[in-house]
Amino acid sequence: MTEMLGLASMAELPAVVVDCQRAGPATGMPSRTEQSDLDHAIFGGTATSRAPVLGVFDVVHAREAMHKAFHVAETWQLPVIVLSDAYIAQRRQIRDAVVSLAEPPRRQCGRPATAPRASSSGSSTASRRSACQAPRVAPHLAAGIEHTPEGFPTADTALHEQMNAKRFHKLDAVAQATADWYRVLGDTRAPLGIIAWGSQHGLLREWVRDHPAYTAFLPEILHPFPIAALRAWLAERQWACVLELSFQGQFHRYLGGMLDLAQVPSIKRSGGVPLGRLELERMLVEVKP
Amino acid sequence: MWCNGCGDYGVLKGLTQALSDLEVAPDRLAVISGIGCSSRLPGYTRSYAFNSIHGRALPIASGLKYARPDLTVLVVGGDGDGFSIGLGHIPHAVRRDVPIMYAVLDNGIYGLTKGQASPTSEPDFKRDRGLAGPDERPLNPVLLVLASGAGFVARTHAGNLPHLRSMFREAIAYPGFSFVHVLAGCVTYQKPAYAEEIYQRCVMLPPDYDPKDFDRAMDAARGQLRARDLRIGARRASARCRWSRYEMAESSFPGE
Repeated sequence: MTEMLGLASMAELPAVVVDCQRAGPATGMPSRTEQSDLDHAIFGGTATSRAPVLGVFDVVHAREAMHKAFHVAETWQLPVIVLSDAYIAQRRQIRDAVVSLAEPPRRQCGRPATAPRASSSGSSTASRRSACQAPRVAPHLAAGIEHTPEGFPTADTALHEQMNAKRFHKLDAVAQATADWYRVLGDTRAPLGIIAWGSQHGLLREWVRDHPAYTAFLPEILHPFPIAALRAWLAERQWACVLELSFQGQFHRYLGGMLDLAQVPSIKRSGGVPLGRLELERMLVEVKP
Repeated sequence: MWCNGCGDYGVLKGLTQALSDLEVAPDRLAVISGIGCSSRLPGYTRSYAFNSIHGRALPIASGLKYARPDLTVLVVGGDGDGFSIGLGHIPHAVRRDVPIMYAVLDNGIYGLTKGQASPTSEPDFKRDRGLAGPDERPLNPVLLVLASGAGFVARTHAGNLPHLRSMFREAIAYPGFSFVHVLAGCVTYQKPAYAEEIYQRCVMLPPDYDPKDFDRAMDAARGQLRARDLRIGARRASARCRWSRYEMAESSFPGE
């Protein structure tokens, strides 16, 4: 999967990859749940390739998340990873009737996903077309190796720098467009906060309902992260922690790269079985001052 | 980007001639490759093309052919790309009988990365050059693909343009998965006489050879293990193929 993601990133091909996380490493506990592929999804990959990463809350949200994932992939012509987990993937949920969502995505990339090639007369059709008009006529080249903006393979280091900047610039645009892709549960004036992602949504929805002193922040997009929203939410809390089903505390470490989390402890454990309310209560007692 | 004298020039010429013979329009053609010297070939065709990643040209081409059955889809690559990292994809493309042509330009070396031993490097060559694995036997690509059950398997030489053109023409027109093993030399990292030596070892299949005879095809392929000759020509056209290398004819196989 990783090499194909690198290829899609380099060739600027829209693709959506769904990862139903389970307890690893490798196929460790194949039918059990965990949130341990976060590092791999965000940072894994060949050289400098990064894909937007979305997190799924539950079965109902999965459809919305998939729609958004395809929207991002098609709009910016890049691969997108959707992180679900076994806890979501192996259960059923009743939902309202599905209705069509927003209008189809419009490309906003700097150039077509694949570049048109020199025509038989030798001139490049790419130069005559606007950036978002991806021509669907041959000749047409996609290159998984570094290429010029017209799609021709190159080993020119200056061009490599330019093309890297172009590919990464897309993530800036994604970050801007997805700055409000997060969900806050409970009373927004609550003094205590829990930051989590993915399938912890169900547990936290119950928790904040029964504990009004708590609110929860869950991002729909994990990378690029809606960090401004989290920073603002965190500023209004007296105390907060990061909750996840990961031995390493990957989510906490990831957020620690963007925020000062010295006063925001991590509560975590390995996967296998989902977290329950009693367990969460015990964990909070241990870390709360 | 190929070196002067590289066999890939001949392959490109033979391929374009065959496509011209078959009147395949550029906008009906997609050439898919992996990574390597020979995988740069799509860059020199005026068609849809995808210079993808090492060893993964076959699954990418299969996906394309399933999505766009109206296109003529060709896969080109080298022996390192196809018989090392990409080897696992060959039997599955064969058993699915995806209607694509796969041409492997085999120069017995990793040329792009400057001369490492490939799965088809010969022991003497590795011993002379001090390369890894001198005692490892080279792969027999034709035997491997035949044993996987491919319907069309052929071998040719990059220096024999008429034969190359003929094999490509038949392979592209074949209505299932077809495989062409192209013997080529690397003028930079093989010994200078390698291409000529390989050429001298090539022996045409006999005139009475029946390409629908699987056992004989296997015998011909196995012959490489016992003798130094590299028999070239179309080894096998399966029962599902309604024509053979030599003649347009209805198959006489039961059930056809």
